[in-house]
Amino acid sequence: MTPDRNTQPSAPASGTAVPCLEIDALTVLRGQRLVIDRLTHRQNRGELCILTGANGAGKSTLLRSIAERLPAESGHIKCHLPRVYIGHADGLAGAISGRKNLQSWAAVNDIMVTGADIEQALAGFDAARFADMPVQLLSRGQRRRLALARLLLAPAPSLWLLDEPNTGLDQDSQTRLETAIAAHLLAGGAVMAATHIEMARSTATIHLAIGL
Amino acid sequence: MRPFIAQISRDLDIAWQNRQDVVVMLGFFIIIIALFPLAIGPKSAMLQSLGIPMIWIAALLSSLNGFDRLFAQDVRDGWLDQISLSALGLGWYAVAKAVSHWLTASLPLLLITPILALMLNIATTKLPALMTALLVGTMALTLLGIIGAALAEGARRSSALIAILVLPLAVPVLIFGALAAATDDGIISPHLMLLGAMLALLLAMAPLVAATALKIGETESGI
Amino acid sequence: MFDYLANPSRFIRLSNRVFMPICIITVICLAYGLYLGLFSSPADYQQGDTVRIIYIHVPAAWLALFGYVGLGLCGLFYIVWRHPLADIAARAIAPVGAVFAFLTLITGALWGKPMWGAWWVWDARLTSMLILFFFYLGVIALANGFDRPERGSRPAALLAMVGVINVPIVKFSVDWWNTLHQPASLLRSGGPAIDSSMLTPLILTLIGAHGYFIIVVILRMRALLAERRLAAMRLRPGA
Repeated sequence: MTPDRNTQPSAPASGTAVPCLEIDALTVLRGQRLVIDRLTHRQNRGELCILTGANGAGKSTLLRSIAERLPAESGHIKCHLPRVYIGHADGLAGAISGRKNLQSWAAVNDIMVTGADIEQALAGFDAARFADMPVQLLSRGQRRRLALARLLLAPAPSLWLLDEPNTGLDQDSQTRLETAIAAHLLAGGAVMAATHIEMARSTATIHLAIGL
Repeated sequence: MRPFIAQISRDLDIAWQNRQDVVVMLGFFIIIIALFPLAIGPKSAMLQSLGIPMIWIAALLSSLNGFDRLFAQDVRDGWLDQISLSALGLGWYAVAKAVSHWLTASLPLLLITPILALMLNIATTKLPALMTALLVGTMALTLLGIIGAALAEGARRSSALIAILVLPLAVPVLIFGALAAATDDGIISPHLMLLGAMLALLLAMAPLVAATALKIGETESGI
Repeated sequence: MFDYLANPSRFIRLSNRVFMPICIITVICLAYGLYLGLFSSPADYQQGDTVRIIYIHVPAAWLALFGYVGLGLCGLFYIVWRHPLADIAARAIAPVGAVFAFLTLITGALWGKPMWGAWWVWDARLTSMLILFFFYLGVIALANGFDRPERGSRPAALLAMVGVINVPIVKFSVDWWNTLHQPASLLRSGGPAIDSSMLTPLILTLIGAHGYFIIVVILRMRALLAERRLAAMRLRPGA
């Protein structure tokens, strides 16, 4: 497989680049298949990295590798920020409500949240209306919004790893996601997202093409 | 500590939503016990001596119940991904799972054991030793089940596979547990102490093995 | 040394060189040992000719145990050092060890019938061997229990390591159980405190059985390596 290329990031507005993610010659196998081949990537705080590539090219694999869910065959990944990962699955237990899901997520991550914090997070994705129903009764998009609400509870700054975050989202929710990302970047966080949908880009956007 | 408690209460919450499952599991336990006298004969002298071993076998089989689903749901939901990045970590998560499973599966068993002992004509003097041995033994079995469930996570016939993995490992627990339950040495017998030693070993080993197995299980969760 | 062997082609070359010598030693030892044991050595004064089965039973038991320890070591190498051949070796060893365990059980039963009149007794050693056989089955079942074949390698390696720790514990508990429950029927030890005319064939068959084990494992490893190469070639995008 040909090595991946990085396009040069345009200079971040603040002028000082603080690295938050360093990937060196990462190689990842799925079974016997070579999926990521000696990938090198640097990302600074305040930068959004959009992963592009065909289906099955390895975008999910890269995100999962950074989230330490896949072992690397060789190479290193170094993260200087805490990671928040939202994959294809929402990470929500179907039998309990969205609100309880968020509370237990915050608790296992040892994040102190008050009731008001939860409300704020839910409001950020307009999910308060259905936050008390068992998650298994909700639609795909509603579950996605609850999953994304976690982003607003995460400690700042952090590195967001998002795998197809806008699946099933309506236009309003997509806008909310973009607003959240923009605010997060301004606050010094970073985002790496695999998405087919065009997200409104700021100057600090990198495109990383996987698996050409 | 807080993440640990949060995981347990989350699991208890989820179990509460499906609380009728406990009744099913208890029914299974009682029916197994009832089958023995039916096969052996009601007044047979054998029945007297078989009472305690029967309860042990039934406890063993019942406590295996539900292990194939122990981690499966969390993997499918993507919750395991969150745990591996969390402050809790996979090791303590496995312990928390063991605790909540023991509370929802083994504790009910323990509570109805006196009733079953009556059904099987087990002398009430033997009850304290039996209950203590079951207490320690079911904890050890739960930890073994955690190991089996973590290793077999994602396999095809995971419930049968977990049984094949766990039951040979459970032989020492069964041997010492049955001895500790039936002994005349009082509650704290040498057999109970050996059982306790095994529990201690499992407490050290099981979280480590389960965490390693869950970490390297490359399951692609979700859709 | 283990790093040296990690390269599959190097392993194949090395195993090619030692293969013939080991074959020769194995055939000589087994042939001579079995001849001595089954024909020319004296029958036991109490057990008669049935004692001759120890020349198969004892090596089988020894190798079943040796195989499982080997399995555990492979597991360790695979999990901790991610040695690539460790998985191949483990998958090669497991069925062979399982068959030796089964052979031990069968020969134990064949020995038991004339001795105690029963095809099976819950003797401590036989019971331990039975449980060891279950341990083997567990590892094999786990390694092959997943839809993606390579997915089972790591859990099986972990299980083998867990098993190695537990085998002594099981043996201890079964011994304890046995002494408490049946003072009767104990397997007479066909151990080393016996006449040299019985010792020689025993040692010969023991060495021969080790050689046989190694040969079969090497053959299996070669086959597994070839299988993997084939699978990898199929996955490569077509030219």
